Amino acid sequence: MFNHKDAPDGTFFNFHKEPPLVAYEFFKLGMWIFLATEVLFFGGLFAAYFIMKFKWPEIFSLGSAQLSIPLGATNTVILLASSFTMALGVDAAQRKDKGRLVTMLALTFLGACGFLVIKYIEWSGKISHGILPGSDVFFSVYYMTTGLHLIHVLIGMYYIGLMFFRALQGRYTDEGSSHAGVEVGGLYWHLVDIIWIFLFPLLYLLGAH
Amino acid sequence: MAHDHHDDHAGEMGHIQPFKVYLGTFLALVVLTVVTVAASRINWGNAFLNDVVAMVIATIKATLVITLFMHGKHEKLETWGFIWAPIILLATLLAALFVDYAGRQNDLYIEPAPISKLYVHQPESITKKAHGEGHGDDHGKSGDTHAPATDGHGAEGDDHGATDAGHGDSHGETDAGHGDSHDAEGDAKATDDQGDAAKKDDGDHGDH
Repeated sequence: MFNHKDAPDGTFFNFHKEPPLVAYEFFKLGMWIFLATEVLFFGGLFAAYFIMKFKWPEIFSLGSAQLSIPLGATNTVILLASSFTMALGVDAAQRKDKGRLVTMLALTFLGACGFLVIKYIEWSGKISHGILPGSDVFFSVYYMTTGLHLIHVLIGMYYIGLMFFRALQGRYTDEGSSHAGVEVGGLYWHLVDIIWIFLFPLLYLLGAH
Repeated sequence: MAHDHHDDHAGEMGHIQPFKVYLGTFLALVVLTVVTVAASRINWGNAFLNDVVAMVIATIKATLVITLFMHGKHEKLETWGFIWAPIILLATLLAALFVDYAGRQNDLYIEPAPISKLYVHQPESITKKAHGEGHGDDHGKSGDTHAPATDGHGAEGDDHGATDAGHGDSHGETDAGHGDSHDAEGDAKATDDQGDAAKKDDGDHGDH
């Protein structure tokens, strides 16, 4: 059933018998379904956030005021930029432009690294001041949501790295190959970006005044 | 549109957008990030309105990413079903939670007082040691006043044991170890009960 070696785009599944276009549509639809579950996964955390904020608004104000808006905004822009380069990477794959695809994947990976560096600065600063996940309800939510988002960033970085080396081998741009892998990785990376788009105002901006 | 395109050219995958679409989307997202930061500094009257403004901007940004970066604009209807499904489910969850929660504000099971005095910047208030001490002081005082007050204290304690089943155990302890009441303070759980018991004792003594 599964034939790893002959998989058209380097992914595990091989829809042999299906024309490449059908396989491509299957990949994308499958990723969209997975992203739907991801939204609900984070949705539970958002529900917890809103309930706790409704119940203890002053704790959220105090906690939110301790976060650095410049750092958070910079991280947002970095993630948006890496989303931008990822979209350009998918575009390059669609146009079968290997050189640009490799460049864009490398830039996207760099953006993710920048995000991690700023996240490290933020977290280490908080932890060195003795602010830990159990300090109060705001920071419980803060560490939980940003931590889970961070795990998603790490998974995305792994897949971007994988795509980078596969792109170098020409597995997405060679004649007759499919770029569905890049498309799917792009969708995942954009979702990570979307989640951060919501986390940034919720954690950094609301209640700071 | 994209689908028709595919049917025409079986080998071609995905809809190709011009570069300026991506660049424009990115610039719009950055501008909206600046706008959301600026909007959070404006006082919109109440905190709830601030939340609404921030969420509306975030939703616009997410829509831009989905439609243009993720090529949602050219996706099939099936895909849009899977985009809307989690949004609708999440909206239902949040709405149901809030209708339920807002309707419970006078419920006995939800304490009306903010828990901030227990929680936020006084971590010592929730540590065991501080907890024990707080109750211990009360207890010590009550013990001091009790000891000389009555000789028939033991008998009264027995009465309590008989009438108040819930506090029976702790009462037994307080009565037995009245002189060295501080021994029992190591156990924070027990002290809680003892604190209550001691207060009760106080009240009863007032009557005597």
